[in-house]
Amino acid sequence: MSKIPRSFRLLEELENGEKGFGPESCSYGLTDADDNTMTNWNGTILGPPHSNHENRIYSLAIECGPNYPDEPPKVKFISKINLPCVDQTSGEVVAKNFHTLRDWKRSYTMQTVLLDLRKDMATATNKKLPQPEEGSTF
Amino acid sequence: MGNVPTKLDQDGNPVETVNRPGYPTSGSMSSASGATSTTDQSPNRGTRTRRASSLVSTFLNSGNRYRSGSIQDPNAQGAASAYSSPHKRRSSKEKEAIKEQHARNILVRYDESVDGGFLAPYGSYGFDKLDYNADVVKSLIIQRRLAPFYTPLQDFDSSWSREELLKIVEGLPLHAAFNEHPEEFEDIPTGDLNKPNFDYLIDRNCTKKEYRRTHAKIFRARLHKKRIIWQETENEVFLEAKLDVRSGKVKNNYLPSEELKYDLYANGSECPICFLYIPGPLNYSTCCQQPICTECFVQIKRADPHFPHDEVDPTQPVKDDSEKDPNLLTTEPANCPYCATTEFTIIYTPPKDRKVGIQGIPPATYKSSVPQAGDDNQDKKSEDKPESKDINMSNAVSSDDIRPDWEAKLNKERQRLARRSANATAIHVSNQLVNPEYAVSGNQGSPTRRGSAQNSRATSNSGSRRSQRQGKSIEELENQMVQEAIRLSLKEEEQRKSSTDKK
Amino acid sequence: MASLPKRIIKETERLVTDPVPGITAEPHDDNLRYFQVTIEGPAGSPYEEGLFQLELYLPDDYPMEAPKVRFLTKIYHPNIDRLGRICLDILKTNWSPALQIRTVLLSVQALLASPNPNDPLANDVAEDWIKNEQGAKQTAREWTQRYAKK
Repeated sequence: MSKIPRSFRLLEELENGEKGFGPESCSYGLTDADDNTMTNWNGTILGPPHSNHENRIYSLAIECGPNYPDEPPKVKFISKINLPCVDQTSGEVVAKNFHTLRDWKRSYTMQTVLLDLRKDMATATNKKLPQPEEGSTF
Repeated sequence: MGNVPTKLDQDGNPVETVNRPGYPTSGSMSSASGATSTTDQSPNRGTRTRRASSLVSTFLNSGNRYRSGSIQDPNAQGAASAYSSPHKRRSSKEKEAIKEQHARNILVRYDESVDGGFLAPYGSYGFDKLDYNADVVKSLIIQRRLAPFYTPLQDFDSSWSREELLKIVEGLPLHAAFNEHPEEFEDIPTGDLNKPNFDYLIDRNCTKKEYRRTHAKIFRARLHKKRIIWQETENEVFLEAKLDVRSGKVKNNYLPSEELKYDLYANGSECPICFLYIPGPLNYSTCCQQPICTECFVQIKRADPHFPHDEVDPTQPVKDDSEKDPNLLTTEPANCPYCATTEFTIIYTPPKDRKVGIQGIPPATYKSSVPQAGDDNQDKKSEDKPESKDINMSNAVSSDDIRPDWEAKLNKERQRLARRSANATAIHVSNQLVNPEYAVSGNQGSPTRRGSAQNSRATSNSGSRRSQRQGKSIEELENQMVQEAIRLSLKEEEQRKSSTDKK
Repeated sequence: MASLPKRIIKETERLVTDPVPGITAEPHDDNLRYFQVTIEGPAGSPYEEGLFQLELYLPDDYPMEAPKVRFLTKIYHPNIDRLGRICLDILKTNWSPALQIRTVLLSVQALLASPNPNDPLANDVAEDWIKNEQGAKQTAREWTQRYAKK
């Protein structure tokens, strides 16, 4: 398998993001449609059902650096959330506490990250965690 | 269609007389079946293709082979029977058996050769891209309607001496090197490949969906490994045969004579698609007479099902694909890669003086019919390209011919989309059902060219309309028929009224 | 497959031995399917005197699948969007495996010489092009001066 370069990989992800994926649980897009380095992205996660996140929409900022996808993106919650892998002052998803970023693979995408975060919110221990007031931000 | 079974016998007979292990002294009996295929002017390509595939199974099953992964394998037989009934909904077990069977079917075996080439591809393109119907392709090659899969040379230098060229050809492998550890299967356990059941590799506590996904992944990873093992076994058999002959212990009629090797590779050319040096003659596009090797030809196919490109209405917001009518999904036959003529077909003119291998003389006994001085090389070259007077269009091969399941795939995709949109809104679904275009068209069953191959296969036990509609579920079909019946009776009533009014 | 297909090796060699006037394409050392490309703006077009940087990638299924091509230099053109994506039929539905890197880049160069605002990718630019061609061409010239100076 050959390695698809960063830019073409991000263009693919952009097109997939525009198409929308699966049940409308997550989405993402370029922060600045003019940025041809395609570095900054915003994402949203619809809180999983049967959890304290139900019906909440969480916004995130994703930064795909120059070595993406060889290296994982930097992911940060903008909406306040109480989750063990999220730094409670900055909103940053701490890579060493979140397996998808810790055990990053080149085949992973922003979609993988968002869907895995949503799964993390729905685990037995995390779904009952008390959550900050809806709409508050880091 | 009534005469098909008799034709089958006529064509089948000469094939069965081929005595594979022995290779008796002459190849004369093979010319009979060669003649049959060229004189056959039948316009029904589907029928021909079908006959071709049964021809190959007769032929291959008549051989005695004991290698692993051979067609005689009991699993493979099961798969073959599943293969022949595409109208039933297959279980995932059956589907997997078919995939394994296909993987076995595209192994290069040195003793299955035609005019110096093989019945399976060298491997310039990845395994998952070889989705053509192997039985059809094999029989087209045996009928000399498609060039065999030759082992390509990476480079060719016309300044090479005969000895240099022969040395290079002697060292050619049967198959290109495999990527043994593709990234795709990196962390996937494959377990014991000899045991058919691998459920023990899957976490018992996972959901049904996860189970299915993991099962499919493991199956693919295992098949990838198995295929490498199978092909390597064939490579070893080939190598041992060569060593045995070199040691002078035995004769082997399947191995090509030096003259055959030289004639093949001294008269090759570069395929304009893969840029590899391939023995001639190549296939030629019927529209613009450009050469294409068989390995590239089997890569050319219809685009995946898609919605028409020009369907954008500027006054409407752009529709998501999931909101569109699944029946609008369409595919077009492949275009010629060279001149973009629609409905690409190729024509192949086999070498007249090199009928070796299956239905020909044993490759080991081939003697060059032209003096090796090279002064009538020009003659040979001009023979490669079919003269327009020689082109018999009924022998042309299209990419649909080698993928007779293209329509079933389209219907499957339509169904998949239909199910998805059915989930979205009930209103949307009911609209589809009353859409007259979607309904079965009453008595006017039109003899279109769609799915001719499958149709002919199915005609024995079901009506042709039924098989055309095979992609749809029974409920869907029934719904449509009810709708259609209502529509027709309303129409009838209307007509009756208007005619009585006139009176 | 693990190794680079012969076709890609030969195409790369031939781009060096028989270069296309006004076009360069060189593979990256660490990824031989990934090319750094330059195209000179065609004479007589608003892109004249400009040197445009592009990137080109040959996917796994090349040549059965089209190369991926993108402008890195900003350009004002109705068929090229702000991310440098190109709307060109042979890169999408009309791709043919008989086409090559060479023919693709020549087509891109031809697209610079004759923009097609009726099949736009950048809608705002196309609108400008249809309503006020002279003005649009002037903007294209200014952008060429600003971003694509040799």
